[in-house]
Amino acid sequence: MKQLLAATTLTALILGGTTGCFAEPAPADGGDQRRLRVGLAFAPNARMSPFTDDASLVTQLGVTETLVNLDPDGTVTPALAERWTVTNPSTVRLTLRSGVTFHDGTALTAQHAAAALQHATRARPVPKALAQIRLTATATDDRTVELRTAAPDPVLLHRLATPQLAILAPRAYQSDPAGPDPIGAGTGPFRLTAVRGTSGATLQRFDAYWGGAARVAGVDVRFLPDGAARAGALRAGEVDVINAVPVAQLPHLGDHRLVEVPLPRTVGLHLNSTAGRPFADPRLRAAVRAAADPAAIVASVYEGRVDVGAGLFGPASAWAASGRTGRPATAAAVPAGTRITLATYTDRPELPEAASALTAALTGRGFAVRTVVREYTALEPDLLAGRFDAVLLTRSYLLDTGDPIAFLASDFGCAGSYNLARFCDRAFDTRVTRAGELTEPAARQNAALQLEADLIGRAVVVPLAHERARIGTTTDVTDVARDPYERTLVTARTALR
Amino acid sequence: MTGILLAATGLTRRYPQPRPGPLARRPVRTVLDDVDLTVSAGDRVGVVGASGAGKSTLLRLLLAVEAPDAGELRFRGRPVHPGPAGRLRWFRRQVQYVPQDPYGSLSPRLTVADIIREPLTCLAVPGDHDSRVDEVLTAVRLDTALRTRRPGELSGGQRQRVAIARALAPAPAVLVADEPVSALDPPVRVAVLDLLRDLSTATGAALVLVAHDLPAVRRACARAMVLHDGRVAEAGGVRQIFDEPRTAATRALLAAVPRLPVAAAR
Amino acid sequence: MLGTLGRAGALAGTAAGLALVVAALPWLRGDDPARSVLRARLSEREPDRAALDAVRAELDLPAHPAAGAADWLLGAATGDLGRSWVDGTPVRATVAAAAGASVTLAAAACVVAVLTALLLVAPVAWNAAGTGRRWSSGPRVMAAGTAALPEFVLAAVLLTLVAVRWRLAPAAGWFGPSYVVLPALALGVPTGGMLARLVVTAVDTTAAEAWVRTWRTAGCPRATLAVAVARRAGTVVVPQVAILFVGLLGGAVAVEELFAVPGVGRLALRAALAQDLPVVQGCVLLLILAGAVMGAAGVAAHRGLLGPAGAAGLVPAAPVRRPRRWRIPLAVGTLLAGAVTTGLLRDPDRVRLDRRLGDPSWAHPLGTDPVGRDVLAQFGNGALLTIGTAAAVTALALLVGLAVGLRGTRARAGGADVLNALPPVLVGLVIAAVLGPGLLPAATAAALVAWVPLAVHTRNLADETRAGGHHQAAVLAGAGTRWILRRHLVPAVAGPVVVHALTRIPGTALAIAALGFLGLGAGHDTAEWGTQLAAAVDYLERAPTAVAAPVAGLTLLGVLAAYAPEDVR
Repeated sequence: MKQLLAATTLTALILGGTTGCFAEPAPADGGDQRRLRVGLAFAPNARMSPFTDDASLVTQLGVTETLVNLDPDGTVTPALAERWTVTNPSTVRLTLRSGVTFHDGTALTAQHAAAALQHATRARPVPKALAQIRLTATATDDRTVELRTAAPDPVLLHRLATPQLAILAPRAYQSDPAGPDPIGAGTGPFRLTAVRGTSGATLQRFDAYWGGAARVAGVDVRFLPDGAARAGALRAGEVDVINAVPVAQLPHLGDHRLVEVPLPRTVGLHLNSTAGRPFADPRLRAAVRAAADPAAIVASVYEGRVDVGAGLFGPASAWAASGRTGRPATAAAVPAGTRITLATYTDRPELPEAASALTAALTGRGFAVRTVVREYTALEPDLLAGRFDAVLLTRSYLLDTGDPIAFLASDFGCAGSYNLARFCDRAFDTRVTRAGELTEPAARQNAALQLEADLIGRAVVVPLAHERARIGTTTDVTDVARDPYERTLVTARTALR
Repeated sequence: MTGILLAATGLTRRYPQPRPGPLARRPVRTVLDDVDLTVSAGDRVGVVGASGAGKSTLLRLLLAVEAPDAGELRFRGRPVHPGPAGRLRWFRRQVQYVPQDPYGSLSPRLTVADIIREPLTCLAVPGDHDSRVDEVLTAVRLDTALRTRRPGELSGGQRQRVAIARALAPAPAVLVADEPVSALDPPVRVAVLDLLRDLSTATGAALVLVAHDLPAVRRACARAMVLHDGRVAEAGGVRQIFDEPRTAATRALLAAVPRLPVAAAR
Repeated sequence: MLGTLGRAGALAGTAAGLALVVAALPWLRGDDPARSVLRARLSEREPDRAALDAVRAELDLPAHPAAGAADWLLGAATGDLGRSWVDGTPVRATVAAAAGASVTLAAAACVVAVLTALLLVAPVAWNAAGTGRRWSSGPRVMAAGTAALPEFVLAAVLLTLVAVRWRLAPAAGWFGPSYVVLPALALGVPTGGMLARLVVTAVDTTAAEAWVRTWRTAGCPRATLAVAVARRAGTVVVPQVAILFVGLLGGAVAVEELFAVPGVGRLALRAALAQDLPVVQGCVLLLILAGAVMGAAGVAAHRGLLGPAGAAGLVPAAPVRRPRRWRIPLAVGTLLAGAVTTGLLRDPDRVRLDRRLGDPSWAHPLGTDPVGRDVLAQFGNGALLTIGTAAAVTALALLVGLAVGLRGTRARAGGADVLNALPPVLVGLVIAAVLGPGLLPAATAAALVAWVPLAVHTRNLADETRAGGHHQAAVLAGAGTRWILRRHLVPAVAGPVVVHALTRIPGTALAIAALGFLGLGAGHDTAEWGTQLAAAVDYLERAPTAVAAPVAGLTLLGVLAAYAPEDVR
């Protein structure tokens, strides 16, 4: 009896004592203004440092902003910078908006903006947007920032839209310049007040926001990596907005609203054309293209909630569909039992199912397929070493500059850092380099389409689908951002009825 | 077999007690204090005392299950220390144990024959084991047909006889019995005690009987030793101890035995 | 004193060895830590040379695993566990925070497990206290069935029903005590079934002990006797609860991911995949310490519960004689075999995208899976591979567990407790790195962890048997260690431990399936119950039969194990 009492007391003590180990509960509603509750799919990896993946998290929550933004068709639009002039191919001058204050009260000056960009150039590793160039940022006066690159760069302005180049107050860089802390240092409509590990975060409205105070009093964020749990939280009424709704959960959303935004992200099968491997033969690659049935996969695995793959570039890029012209394709060969390995990763739930469908289709065509499905980090070393014949992956083609040429270079260039198709053609490389030098966006897009046609024609990659962002909200929520770059989600205009 | 078999001198044993509090020192209880015991061939010695007097501890020391904190144990002059089975084999051949609990001391999974054969095999006793099993079964007045039964099918008295048979099987020089009849019904008790006495006389094995049951000791033993609080209060012939107790301890023990009126005993 | 020093030394040695293994992980996997850290920070950043060099320069990565391990151990000895390579936060703070969450969750899950076990065992103890006639087949079966439930399926079901439909508990997150409910239930109920299975066996044995009869005839109230029987039977369960607690600290990864609990399992896995070695080292150290402490506590608790009787060798042993029931196992076995055979006759590989997630129909009696394959066919074809692999692993674990548990004369906490504390996914990660992907490495990884509970069970039963009268008598009859092992210990121990092992077969199958994301296990399109489950659980509400079929298979398997005979002649 005494032991039972002791055991119960001990258990109660443990449970009670560790109650303090919970992240503090979300604060109660402040006054009559409601707070927005958001459930996000990706937790911060690095304490919300803008020099990591957490950068897009911070901009999505409306905490930080960049100098410029990109609109869906790739044009640069003003954000913190009001206007700009391209003085020469390597120099751009931007005029900052007046009356912008950081969350800690400091005013935004050109010196602060230049300092922020300089810190970014010194980050290790350098943000991808700045990787290929050498940028120097200087403040010519209180409101003008001059950016200079070592070599002429037609997409310099586009680079400035990447979340990693968000402008933070000087205090953010004080403790650790390599890992700035956005708490109290952003310019956006919401002020980040607390981050609780990988569980949640709290934001309060920043009343002095230059674009007008936000319509909700604050945002309470939860990080819920599991898709079913995220959708469940929305359905149970615990959150008002969720992002990355998995296809499997769509039929259960019921009365909730779904916002779908076409993304510049293509699901494609990259065929390894290294010499000596089965797919060095273009006719076998053509056989794969003939066997794959993108429409069936989109209709079943993705339940019609994505767009059928027409090429490398999808509906998110309006210029792609209109500018595309047909090209003759290579004739397909009969595989007769050729053994191949097909690899994909589990991080996106639909990819393994699509892989099964593809395997069945290819086996029906005559290939002998071995499927390898692993978590991405367990797969990447073998992927980059080229150990698989076919890789099914989803890839964003606008990357950080909103420009398709960089994608073509990195994914299909001989020296490309993510060339899973092991495709190497000097002539192709030259054309890519020349396309990269074009300054007119329309000309670049045209060049990109022609390069795409070449790749598709040679069946180096078989496009299957173009992804969409799926944001689920309750019926009370309005004006969630529809951003194909997935850089913004909660804005000043987002409201709860 | 003549001469002194088991000689225990100055046996002392202390046990640490649970701490009264988290910071107090652990108290030590002296369970046995300077106890001497000599067993010669053909002896029948009883060890009596109240509960907690140290009888079980003395037993464990005599059987070399534990080592004494002071004093020593010798068998035929050779020192005995607890240790691995191989090193004690010679001792175990000569000193066997009859346990107290007829229900727990026999493995429920083995047959009677297996149980009795166990010491024969483990101690590598020469000769035909099967016939020896029958021999001892007969000696303890059990039907040899019982050899294929399991302990669960036997009565308490039968089980105790099997335990005695097991102890007898290797023909030991000393039989140490730990309250062998306390778990049995009175009529069975008498039978088993007589058996022990007769076996001791017949085989020449010495008997050390640990009990708190005084009439049992009186019936089966020739000598007795009274333990009180870990010390030897009195030692001597049974008649002298029981009829002329010299110490208060012995008197208390004797007084505690209920005397039934003669009429009810019939 | 010397014993304690020796144990501390062994512990330190184990810690050093594990530190070396963790430090060697990048070399074993052939994955440059600079690349994995880069990937963790910037997932879309391709690993070009400049970026890798920048990361490498910043982190000052060790050139050699031994150097890395030594550096870290020296730091750990002074209390400095280093800083995370991914985000630079001090490891001690991160691991401490995660430990807090994990301890809460594990404690709550243990409470649920014990309550579940009590619930299942109460009728048996009540019966034993009352009539003395042993009736335990019902609870035995229920316990085995509960034990076979996969945690992640239970978690998904609880999420859908309790959180979303009924709104009785929060869906996911970690913001207050109410958030513990669902994860604790998902973890605790299957384990409660496992514990109940062990206790029911023990209650059966206890009920045959003589004192029960005495108490009963003495007029002891039924409730008191039932409690006493349960307490006596509980001695074997307490060390298992200790193991369970430690196992949950690092091993509840699936549930932690689903319910977004910021626990040690999730932290360790993500850090291991990112090869953020300081964090992994910190987690492993925490788990080793927890394992050693709880292992010792379990041993002490066992001895404490046995009480003075255990020390004095007065624990009685009673034979377990139950009438062999064959009707129910025959029926269950026939059902299972029938379903498997029917499935084997059908085609499991035919992908029909238009028939995806179909309802049960004449053409597909159990519906179709997410790519339109016949669920019944997958069930049948997957049965042999699943059961065969799991049975082989369990057999190996049983042999090792018996051998380790019977070794030594006194139960003490040892390497088994440390190994039990390590999360199976980490073990799987190392095995995958060393042996590569495939089914055999998966089986190896599962076997490495599966023997521990069996060894502890063996150890406890051996402890109790050694405290028993006939063991004492055998020693005094001159029996040597090997004889006692063969004649007394193994027969007493083998029965219950074999049944325990059989009850763990479904769990082993699930453990192998849980390693699939690392590339361990049967191939992606191979029919196997675990992979089937993992693929279908996302569609729980739409195609419940696709989930129910493998779960039913595992449950039936568990139920069959419940009828295994426990007395060994």
